[in-house]
Amino acid sequence: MDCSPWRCLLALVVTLCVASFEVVEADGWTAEFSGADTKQNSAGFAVGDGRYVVSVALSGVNAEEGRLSFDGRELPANVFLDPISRLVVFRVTGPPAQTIQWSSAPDLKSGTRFKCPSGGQGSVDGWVKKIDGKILPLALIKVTYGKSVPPPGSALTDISGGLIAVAHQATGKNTGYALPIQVVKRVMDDIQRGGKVSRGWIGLKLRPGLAVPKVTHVQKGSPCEEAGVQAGDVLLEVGDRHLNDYADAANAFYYLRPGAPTSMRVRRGNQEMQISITPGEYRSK
Amino acid sequence: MKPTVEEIGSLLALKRHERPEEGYFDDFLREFHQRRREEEAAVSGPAAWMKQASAWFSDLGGSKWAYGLGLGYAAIAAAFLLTPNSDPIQQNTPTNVGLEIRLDESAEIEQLPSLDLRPSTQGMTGEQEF
Repeated sequence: MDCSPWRCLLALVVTLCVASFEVVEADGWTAEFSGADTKQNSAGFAVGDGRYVVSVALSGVNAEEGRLSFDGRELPANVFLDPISRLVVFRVTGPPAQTIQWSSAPDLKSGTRFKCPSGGQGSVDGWVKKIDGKILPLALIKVTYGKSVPPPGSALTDISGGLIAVAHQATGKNTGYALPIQVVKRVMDDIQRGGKVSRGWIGLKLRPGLAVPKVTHVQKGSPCEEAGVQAGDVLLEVGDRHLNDYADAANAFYYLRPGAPTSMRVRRGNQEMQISITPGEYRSK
Repeated sequence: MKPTVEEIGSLLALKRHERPEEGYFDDFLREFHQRRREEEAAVSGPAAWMKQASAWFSDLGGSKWAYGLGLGYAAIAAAFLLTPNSDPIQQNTPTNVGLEIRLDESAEIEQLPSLDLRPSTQGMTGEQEF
């Protein structure tokens, strides 16, 4: 048989294409969400004990009625939604699936490279706290993909395979936003401990337009009042997050969990104070 | 003693050959006008000034038309520029457009309650409770 270099190259390309297709098919967690006039297909990945599958339902679809499938086979599952981040967690029964481990030291600085489940690579462009003048409830990561944008819910892993982020909404042909791993951890903690996604409440008010995160009001009987926070205090740190502006504060408050004591550092006049607060549960009015 | 007819005839014959120099009559006319102008210059007043001006123009010869056109153009331009605009200055009367400057600087900054990143999504404004 005549095996010219061109034929060998063609055979190699075909082999690689088939192999990559099989890899995609093998990573078979998918979630389908429906809206009023739209459908959204997301990817997913298993975490924890192998019976939690994480995905993302973008706005405009009914996340609670999402359908989870593995290799095209639909599986019954309980659905948990974090309404703020739009992260969805399916709780499945049966044998545990292969999980993705958390990255031991997630590095989400600008320039950090990551891997996509399809085999492509990408890099972190930086953190985003505001989009089109609107302050986000939590900071996102802006990413650039080497190939096309993966579906929402795709796991973005570091070089050693540890989870560092989850693909969120696409913004261009090869750019998009991603949820940092801390969001997945926070939601998973809530579900595993309380069986639901909750939101912390400390009872203070801030004005988005102020240059610094200054407390404008403290609710009576709130955790903040009990901890001694006063109107006029400037927030410097919440937990291990340093605050420069209102958006930093909003991002830090997203990670507050009811019942979990959190330290806060505030400046009152010329004094800096360390305060411990135990958030309550936020109840919508 | 009275000349005789012969003498008068010979004298006339001699005068018939006497002719003035060439250009004599031109010079005579020019000198006549010059003397006249000098006499008029001695007289002061607007009428005299006008006469001097017209005399100066007359002396320019053929180029007086060019000077005249230039002066006419300058006069028209000066009149155009110096004539005050008779149109009344339109006063801009203030109109209430319904805009209000808000001192609350947080009013324009929106806080998204969730990661709904659609451009049409509206956030919350004003004080936010956490």
